[in-house]
Amino acid sequence: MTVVIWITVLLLTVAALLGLVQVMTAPDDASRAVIGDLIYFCAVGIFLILALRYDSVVIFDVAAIGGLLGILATIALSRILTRGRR
Amino acid sequence: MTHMIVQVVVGVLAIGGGATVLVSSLAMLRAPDAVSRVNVLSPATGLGMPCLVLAVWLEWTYENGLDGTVAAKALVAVLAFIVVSSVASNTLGRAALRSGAALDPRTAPNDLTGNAD
Repeated sequence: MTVVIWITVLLLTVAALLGLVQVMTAPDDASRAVIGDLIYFCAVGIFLILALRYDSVVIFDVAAIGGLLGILATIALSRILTRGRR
Repeated sequence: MTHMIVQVVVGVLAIGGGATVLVSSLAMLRAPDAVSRVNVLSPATGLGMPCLVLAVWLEWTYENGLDGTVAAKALVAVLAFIVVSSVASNTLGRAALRSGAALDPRTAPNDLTGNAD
């Protein structure tokens, strides 16, 4: 089980690092907003799988709240991108 | 025997979910414009994250026994990752188009920019 956990952490970390590289190379702000979303989901995934390893009591609270409220950052960035117009 | 089956299922779900997120990240490197980047994020949030939550829930349930509250939270998390992130992608894609980001000329149908045929 430990091997599975560390392989998954490695995959998600590489995904997040690739996202960070793209923040530097992205041509426009909309792309950076999308990449921010990707890194957010990578962070939630890494927390979930590591919390399983270290027997955390808040695994599923974080999963549910992270899924439900992850939209807030995206909506805020969308409004910023369009300068407040819908 | 049951132990091995659970281990294999959890391993496939967890590594598969992580690999899906990684593949989305790689696809983002190849996407030509911002709207395509919003599009290639969908497998990560709609397939990868639910798989990860399912793997974590299976392993937790195998170790600690079935718990109704935890099962409900896991179900809410899976549904939230699928539904909420789809709505977020829609909003962000619309905002990307409205903010004047460069768009692949082959995009069709394209009613929002006003030059639809």
